[in-house]
Amino acid sequence: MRIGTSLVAVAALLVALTALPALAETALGQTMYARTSVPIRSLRTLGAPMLGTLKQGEAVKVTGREGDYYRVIYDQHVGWVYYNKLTDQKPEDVSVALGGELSSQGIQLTEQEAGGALRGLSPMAENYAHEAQVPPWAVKAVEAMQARFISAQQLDQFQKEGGLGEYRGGTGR
Amino acid sequence: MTDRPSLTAALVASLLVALFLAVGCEEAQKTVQMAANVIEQNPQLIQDQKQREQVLAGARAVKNMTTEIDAREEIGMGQSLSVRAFAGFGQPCPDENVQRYVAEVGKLVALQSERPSLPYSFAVVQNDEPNALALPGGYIFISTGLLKRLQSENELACILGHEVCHVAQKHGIEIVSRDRVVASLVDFGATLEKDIGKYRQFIDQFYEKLTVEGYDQDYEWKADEAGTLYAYRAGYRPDGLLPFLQASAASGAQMERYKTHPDPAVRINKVRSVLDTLSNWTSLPTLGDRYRREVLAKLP
Repeated sequence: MRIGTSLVAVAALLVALTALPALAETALGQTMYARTSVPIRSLRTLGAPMLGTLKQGEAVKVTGREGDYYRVIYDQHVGWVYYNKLTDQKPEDVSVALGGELSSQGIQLTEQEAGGALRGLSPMAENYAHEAQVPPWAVKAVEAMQARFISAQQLDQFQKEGGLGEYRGGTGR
Repeated sequence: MTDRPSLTAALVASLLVALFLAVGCEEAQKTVQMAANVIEQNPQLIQDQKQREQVLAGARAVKNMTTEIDAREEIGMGQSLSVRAFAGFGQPCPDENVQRYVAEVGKLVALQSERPSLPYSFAVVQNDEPNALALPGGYIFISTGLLKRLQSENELACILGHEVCHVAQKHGIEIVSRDRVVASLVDFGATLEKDIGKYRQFIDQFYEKLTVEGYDQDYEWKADEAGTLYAYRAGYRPDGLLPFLQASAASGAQMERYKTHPDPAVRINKVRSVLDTLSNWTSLPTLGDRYRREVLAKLP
């Protein structure tokens, strides 16, 4: 019985000691923001399991950098984010222009909005097109260019096929 | 003979401008609002109603100018300019695969800019001249003529990065602000949102300014530097502007819209100085094969 109690105590101590570095790092950390939808990995490698995902504009505490990865604290765990996915400047809130909503968890947009797809022309632009007697095809062309939807997954696949960024392999930059 | 209301209006206008120049933007906004309130509450200061309305409209224009343009307003302006751009620049390239490929490269680079959340839109237009154009709100155009002169994806990434920088660092908005200063000095009726005739004039003049005069040299330096850095952070070999600039320098002629750009030889040196600050970039991908497959093989 005494051995069992001691084991529990030692286990509790080990758990507490494991948590300490994370707590200390949080206190020292710098806040950065997700440039886009950002996976947080449990290890500093591409195929490592994901701890979670940051939404565009969501803040995260950064406690250091090793190679091409930032070490972050996410949900009280240490995680890793590829360096080009975070910025030290909070991205501006364009949710009003896009129709989404701002919350404490970042900019809440639909997948299509987050892909940079706008719908239709503003009254200003419609009035201008009418007043300037712009040919209808030009109006349609603007609507088509802003409706071209590229999801985060498609962009990720595009990087993967090109061996860009995180998919280049190796570190050191 | 000078009529009295005009003289009073001119004096009030001069006072507003002097106030604006004398104090900071935030203070100017408050001061101009106070002046407008005084005029509204004491209409006898400017007895002629038309003159009074013009002065008040001018006060509103200065107030608007000192208030930062929000994203919705910027996008609306960008849409108006884009409608104008298509009408003047050319029809969109009909190959949706080429459009999509250019948009993917552009979005990758734009995510590395100072404004990653802006909904950037990219369009390839059918025009044999080697041109590219950035408009406020994230609307970016590139001609088939320019695409045909490039050899690899990293060159495209750096050129799109250059254009993205003009948007991300609000170079166009700064030009707009300057135009509003001019508008507030010479035309107190320039209330852009209510007077569609004035708004059309404003958009047409702004488009003309961007496409004929181009961005100022300082903006072009910044765009070269930032475009190179965005492409590097996106994972591309960041020397993609050099072949384009070297071709311009060798031919001795600037390419169309780039007539307003600084001397290519000077730009080459500046880009090289940026590259000197980056590490381990020579082994990054240029993706020439993908560019040839996705663009050069598809353009007529």
